[in-house]
Amino acid sequence: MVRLKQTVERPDEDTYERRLERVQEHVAAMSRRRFLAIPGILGSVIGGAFAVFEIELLKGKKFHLRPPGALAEEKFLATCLRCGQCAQACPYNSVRLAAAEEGIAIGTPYIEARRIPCYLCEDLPCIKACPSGSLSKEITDRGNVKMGLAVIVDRQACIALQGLRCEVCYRACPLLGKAIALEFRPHEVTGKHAIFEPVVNFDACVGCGLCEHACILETPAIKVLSLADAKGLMGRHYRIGTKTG
Amino acid sequence: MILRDPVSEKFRKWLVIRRAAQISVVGMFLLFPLTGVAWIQGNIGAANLFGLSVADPLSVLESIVASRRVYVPALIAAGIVIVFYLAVGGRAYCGYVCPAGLFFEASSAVRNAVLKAFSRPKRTGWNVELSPHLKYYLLIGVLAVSAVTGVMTFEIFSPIGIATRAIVNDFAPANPNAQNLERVAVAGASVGLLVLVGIALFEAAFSKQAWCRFVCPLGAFYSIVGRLSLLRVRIDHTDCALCLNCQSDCPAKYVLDRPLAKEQEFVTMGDCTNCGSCIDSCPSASLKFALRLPWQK
Repeated sequence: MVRLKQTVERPDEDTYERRLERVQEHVAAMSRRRFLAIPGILGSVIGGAFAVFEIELLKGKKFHLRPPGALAEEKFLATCLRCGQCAQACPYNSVRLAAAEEGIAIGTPYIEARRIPCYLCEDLPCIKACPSGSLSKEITDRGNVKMGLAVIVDRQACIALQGLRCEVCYRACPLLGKAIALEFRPHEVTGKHAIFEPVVNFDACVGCGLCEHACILETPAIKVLSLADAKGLMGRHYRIGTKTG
Repeated sequence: MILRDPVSEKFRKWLVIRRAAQISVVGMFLLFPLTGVAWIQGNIGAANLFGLSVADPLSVLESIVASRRVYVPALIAAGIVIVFYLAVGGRAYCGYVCPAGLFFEASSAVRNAVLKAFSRPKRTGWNVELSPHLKYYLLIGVLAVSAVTGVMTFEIFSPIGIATRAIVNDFAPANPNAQNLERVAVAGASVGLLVLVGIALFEAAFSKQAWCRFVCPLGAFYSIVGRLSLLRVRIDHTDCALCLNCQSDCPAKYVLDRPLAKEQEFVTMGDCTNCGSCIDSCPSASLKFALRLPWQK
């Protein structure tokens, strides 16, 4: 029987040269390894398609009353950097930032008129603070702001329309007398009283929400709606001969 | 936090500097909400630093592809940030600035403490390793989905945005100088925090800093910036004994492979965050920060 000779040199001896060799072997092995590009690309395409589907589903679910000067909603969601500088600039803490529950609007600024409305500052500090142009610097006069439109959503609940003197929304409006007018007419039931009906002028209303905030009802009868929800559009073929002004 | 490296017995200078930077960034953004001193406003997405407007470059890039419109002031604000990270190292953002990174590092610390307390020595626990290339696919995906849907996509699920809003915008009223001191209090204190906590729990259980290493599209963006960055780690082989203690501490070990194999002098891979843990852990002071020009190896 031949006895195998034991090798004299020990291959596992930890010298500097061995360590360097091991590191170099590792680098060579890593550079031979290829990242699986095809599953990666396939996964991205499928994942991306799902993401597009989800986002399209979430789009336009809810109206957010944006701060003054905000671009149209789809442009706003495409540009707002969610930095909260408009909220920090607001002297009334009116501007809130959307929570994750708001889906794709997460982190974007909005105003809850019933909590704290927009007081429509003369100098519009929120627009000045915006770094992304999502609150357009082109709006320099507060009369040109168009955040939404105030609408009397429930004529049966509005106490002014029941013949009581209220005028609270009319008085709260920062564009007093321009955006909300009081139209009065005789009270048909009593015959000797008047009804003072608040009427919103869509051309002047900026949608700040002060009227919604001020409404004395438990649930307001006047609310700020999005332009799309509030406005009708007449067919272009109509010609109104009696139109004044 | 162990302030001395067990092998090199050196004071962990860079770890201390890094923690100080991470905490200062959070403190910096809290200055206005807590004191009303308006030197610095905004959050990690975009900010106004003493009148200088800066913005997260990936957010701005997304906004450009989503809106198909270039708003020059935002582009300049993003450019300033890119130039800054071209100087100090792309993913230095991840190591020194990102508030979510700080949170996830805390989750790693918990993981290490639990493993140390409850398992036999040398047990490392579960550690799922994915490909570091994954995040580049996510970066491209995020930009593509932004372009198709017209909605900034990363912002929807970004734990960085959620963390920054939870800290900066929920802590106090947005404007402490305002007449009405109601808190904004909706930004982060919501299901959004579940994203943050969920990632942290996943990392603590299965994979150390998995978000930062494999997933984060912003990390991928800064990784690309990092390839051209000027400040990089240089290895000097004269005293190096190849003990590999540097690699054992490195959060992205593969970045040290080629420099250690003597193939190149600098750590050139973008995933290096310039965190300096290799420098602190080297017993022979063979690693140092040095100026690297983009074409140098």
